[in-house]
Amino acid sequence: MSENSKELQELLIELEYGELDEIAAVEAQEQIDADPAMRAMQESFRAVRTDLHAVDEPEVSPSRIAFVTMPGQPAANTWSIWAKGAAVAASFAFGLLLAAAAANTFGLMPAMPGVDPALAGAPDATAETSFASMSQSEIQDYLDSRYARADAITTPVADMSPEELRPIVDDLWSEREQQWRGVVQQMLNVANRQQRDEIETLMAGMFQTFDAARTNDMLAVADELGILQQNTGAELQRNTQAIDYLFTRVGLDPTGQREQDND
Amino acid sequence: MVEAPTAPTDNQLVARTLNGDVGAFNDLVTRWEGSLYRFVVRYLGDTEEARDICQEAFLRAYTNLDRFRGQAKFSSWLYQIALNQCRSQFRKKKSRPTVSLDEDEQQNHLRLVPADAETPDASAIKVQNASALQTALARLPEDQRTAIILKEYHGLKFREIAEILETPESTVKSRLYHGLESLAKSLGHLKTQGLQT
Repeated sequence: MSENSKELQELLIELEYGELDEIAAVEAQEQIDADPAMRAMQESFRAVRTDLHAVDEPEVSPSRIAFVTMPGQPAANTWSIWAKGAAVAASFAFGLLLAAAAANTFGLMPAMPGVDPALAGAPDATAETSFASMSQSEIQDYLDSRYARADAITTPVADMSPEELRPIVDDLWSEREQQWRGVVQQMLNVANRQQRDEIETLMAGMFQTFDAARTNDMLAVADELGILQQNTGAELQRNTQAIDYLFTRVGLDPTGQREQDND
Repeated sequence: MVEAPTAPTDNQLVARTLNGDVGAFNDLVTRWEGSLYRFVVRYLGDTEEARDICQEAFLRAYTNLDRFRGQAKFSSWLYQIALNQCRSQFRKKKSRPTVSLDEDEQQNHLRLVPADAETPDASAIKVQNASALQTALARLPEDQRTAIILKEYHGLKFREIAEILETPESTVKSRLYHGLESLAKSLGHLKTQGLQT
């Protein structure tokens, strides 16, 4: 096999893609013609390139690409940029919310397709799972950073009694609810106008039924959507893990109810 | 005679965005979303993922706009962001178990049907050929595939591709050469005339 030098290969590529001036192109073609293997390769390349251009261009769907042109949404501020990122999630969430509306209650959401049943329906189990991703010291550091300085709590959280922990749980719980309302509202805001009225109706119903017992369902949805991976979700994630941990310490289940003895 | 207003350059729009002009970034998105989307679709072969990745790429571009120094073209920088997203997505896909056609079946997909073949269903042939090309492209090493997509479909200069891939121009040419050679083999176009084996 004749040796296709690297220079000749480069020359062939430059020639085929028209990045040589007229004189250089003529000289390059002469060199290629003098090498049968390179000449054959040139023909092969041309056949391949013809095939590559025989297929249609992918059509651009503007519905999700043109997010900056979403009606009524300014493009360049922190909120709207985050919200646009959530737009993708919102479109998916819309489908989930429709399913929820059909079921007429979020209490049925554990059965929703695509949602991890362990997350959606078994909060006790997930408390252990999610907590497992954080070390004891990470949980402690997080709680210390939130409470120890402000409230001069000197007792390590791990050593607190359930009675001492309860106010912290309530505080975190309230904050989580507020965060959730914010996330949902942002998703609502970025939905397009055609969907907005329908989503608002759904949201109104959802807020009415929103209570602590439903939070885990919503967390499952958000987790499925990947929202917890967003910056705004990171705090929520830590908060949730801390709550789960504290609930296990207080002896409550994550709905805020005291766990029932099975026996 | 009044001269028609010329469109602002990408760098001008970047500067205006950094100065708080909200609409300037919209203009950049409008200008580049089509190209970027087509690039990602060709890279990943999945329109749904491509939409998500384009969204994310523009978001990242916006939030990191102050890091854009203007040394490379804005479009090169944008392609680079999208390419990184694609690579990340590609790694995720590779780590997931997938159901694949067996080798023989895949080989059949690569047989292109002549466009002038006598058949009542020319559109079906087109789809089949597109699928064969997509498969052949997907089988290429990632660096060769990227170079071919950027050159063939986006018409970028070697210098621009080199910027995006952060590699010398000679490497870009080499990747193009070997990528086209592999495609020629896959698609049955490799001419053996003049080759001594």
